[in-house]
Amino acid sequence: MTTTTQLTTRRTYQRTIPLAILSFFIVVLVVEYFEANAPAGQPKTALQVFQTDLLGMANTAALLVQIFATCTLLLWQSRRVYRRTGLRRQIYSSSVFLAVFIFFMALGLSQFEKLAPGANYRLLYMTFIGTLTATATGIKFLHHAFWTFRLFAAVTTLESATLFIAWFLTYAREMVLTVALWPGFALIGDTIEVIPFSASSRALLLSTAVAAIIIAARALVGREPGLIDMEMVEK
Amino acid sequence: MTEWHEYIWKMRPEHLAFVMLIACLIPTFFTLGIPIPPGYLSTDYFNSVESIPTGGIVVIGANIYDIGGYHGHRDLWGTQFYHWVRKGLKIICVVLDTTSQIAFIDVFRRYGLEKGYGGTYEYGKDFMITPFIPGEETAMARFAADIWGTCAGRDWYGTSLTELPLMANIRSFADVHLTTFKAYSGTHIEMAIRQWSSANFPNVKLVATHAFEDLAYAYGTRVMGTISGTRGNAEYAYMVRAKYGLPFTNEEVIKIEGRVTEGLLMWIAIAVGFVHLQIERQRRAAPKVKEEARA
Repeated sequence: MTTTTQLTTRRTYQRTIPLAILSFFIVVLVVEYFEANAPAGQPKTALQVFQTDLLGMANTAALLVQIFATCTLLLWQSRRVYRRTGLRRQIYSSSVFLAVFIFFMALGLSQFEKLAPGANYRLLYMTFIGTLTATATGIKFLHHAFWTFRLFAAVTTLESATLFIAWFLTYAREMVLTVALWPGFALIGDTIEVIPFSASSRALLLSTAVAAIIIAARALVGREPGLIDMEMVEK
Repeated sequence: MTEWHEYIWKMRPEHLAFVMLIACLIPTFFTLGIPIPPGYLSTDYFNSVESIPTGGIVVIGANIYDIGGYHGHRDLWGTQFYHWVRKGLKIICVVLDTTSQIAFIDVFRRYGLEKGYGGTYEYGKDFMITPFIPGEETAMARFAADIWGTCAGRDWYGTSLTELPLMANIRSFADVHLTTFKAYSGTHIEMAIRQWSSANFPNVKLVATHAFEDLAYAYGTRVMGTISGTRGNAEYAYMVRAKYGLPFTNEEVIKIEGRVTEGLLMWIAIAVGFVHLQIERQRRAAPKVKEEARA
């Protein structure tokens, strides 16, 4: 079998067919999202019943795909982490600790909660993961505050001055003492966050969404190189 | 000779962090009693919960993917659950990631809400925890439409839902009164607004624990209240304590006091930074003036 035939065959059953099925479910979900539901208490028409059934099927299918994808991803990620750090002599102790920890967590997720009733597992998880991540977040904020201070202390341009004033006013909203002294700080802080901040963050989200739709459309018509094509090129 | 303002300006990050840490720690040991005037966001949240009749159903979903998120805001969770329990609401906890079941189990036991742990709430009768349902928004949509089907008829422990009296009359969000969602990103609350609000189920009130700016566009129509930020956490704790009394020291109140001391310190540091820069500019400008005078 030639490389071209191999590529075409693999594309058909690994990409084209799943994409066609997926596209069908996407259309069902999108139509359902934009279509108003029947008012509560009113009987549904035959078309609405059909749509509800179709939507239930689409949701179930999507859920099954997500479960499969999540499980595959977890296994793949665990394997990748293990292979990257696995039992190297230079970091032997931490590698062993990591391997045992991954095993313990996997076992705990699957079994420990159902045993007696997982109190030890929860305690260890909260103590290790909970405390460490909460501490890391705390340290991050201290570091963030330092750089905020350095940046804003050097207000030299109109842009940095605007940012400084916006930060000052929103921070004033977050300090209850200032709001207690003058309630207007709460209103000003809310306005800054709702109008300029919200507008810029939603513009960012919108541009990401548009880009995702474009990439998805290109993938549907086979214009976006997928993993199969890249694997074939590597060979 | 180094002047006083230069010490501040040349301070290393770790030194400033240490000073800020001290400032944050002051309220941990000495409560300052700073007034906490409840804002309209927290008040809306509180009133939305209050409007649910006794025996009403609350659905709380969690997609925290980082148990530290629970660890860092544990008392907020505790306050929310305590409020629902005191209102006599039945609670369905939806596990949307691989760790939030730990948070759900912990909050019922740590805050003495569960029977056998100092409380009155009984698993299966007053509250339940679903199995892990992967799929983010798809999972949320599916769960809202068909709770039993999405859970495959079982709870977190593998018990059949037919054995849980709480689930006898609950099939979808048409049987639910209040929904809320725990996650730490702006896109997640958008999922809740789309799937778990009155947009799909007119009988449901969605309340949030998200920053106001993430949901401002849907506030008052789809989202009926939010606990926004550290200030919101403290305000809500203040209101629950005022009406029901909280049986635990709420670290959210300590945090907001820490934020005040930290913020005041930061403002002082910035003011000193401005002073330093002004003095430096004047110093640099001074020789030029002399040279210009000579010319």
